[in-house]
Amino acid sequence: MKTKDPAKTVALLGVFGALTLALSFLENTLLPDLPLLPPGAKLGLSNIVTVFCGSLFGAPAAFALTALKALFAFVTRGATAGLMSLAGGLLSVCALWALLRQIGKTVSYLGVGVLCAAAHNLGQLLMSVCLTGSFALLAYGKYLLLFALATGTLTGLMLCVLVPRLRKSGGFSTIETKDT
Amino acid sequence: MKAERLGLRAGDGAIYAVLVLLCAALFLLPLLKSGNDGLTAQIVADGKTVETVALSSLEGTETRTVNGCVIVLSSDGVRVTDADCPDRLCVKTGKISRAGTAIACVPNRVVVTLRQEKNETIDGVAY
Repeated sequence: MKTKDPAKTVALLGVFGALTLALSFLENTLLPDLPLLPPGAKLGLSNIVTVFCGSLFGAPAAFALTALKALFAFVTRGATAGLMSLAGGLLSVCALWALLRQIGKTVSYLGVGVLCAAAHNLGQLLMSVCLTGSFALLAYGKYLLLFALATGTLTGLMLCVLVPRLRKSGGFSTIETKDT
Repeated sequence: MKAERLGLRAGDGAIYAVLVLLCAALFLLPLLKSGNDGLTAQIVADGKTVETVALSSLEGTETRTVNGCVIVLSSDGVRVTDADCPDRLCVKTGKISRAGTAIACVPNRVVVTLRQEKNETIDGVAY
């Protein structure tokens, strides 16, 4: 995490944190549970911010963001929601961590978005199995994976379009990143 | 939108191929099992089996209340009609009627699973 301006890094991390909270609140509030979707499935809009943050500041910053998001879920929606958010977020950032150095070389943000979405849903599925003690829930894995393919493609495409433009725009250009 | 403008790489295709194949396998494998006869509903609360009900033996509906979840059992399936949890995803799941499916209420730690009776799976006997 080398930057020219540490104050800017801290300020940006704060903005990213607020953005993840706002986006997860937005999709919990505005989007109803559609009948055809697997129960509990979410769009994962805040993943856009997490992946972008990870690409700027490295995986530890992305871990911090998911921890903050899980804490927010814990406070606003209870212990179960907090644990589910934490499990999904941790596995998602692990997937991001594994691919971070390959972005722009062997994978693009599209692949990262899809793998992170799949990892997020896998983490939540495993946590729900732990919380209920019932392996029967694994049967939902296929629906969650199918849904992750769709939402991951959506967020991945957004990242593909957004990241190069955001990087070129003024605010982020003074930040030295690992891969530049 | 062209692939080069999005910056797509070969690894993206590999990730998609693996995930799509895995997804297809998960959807196709249960189709190898047959039939929906002899369904048994297993109610699990706090990790322990509370009750097992053979759905074919039911006439009309029967209701159980476990950890705040109201579970309605009938011969053609199971649904949770009411729950005191915040998100009520178990209620929104609706009715399940196929073996291997489940309704979960994670906050209340309740899971209802439909299973196939083991002793009714013989397809035929030849002499």
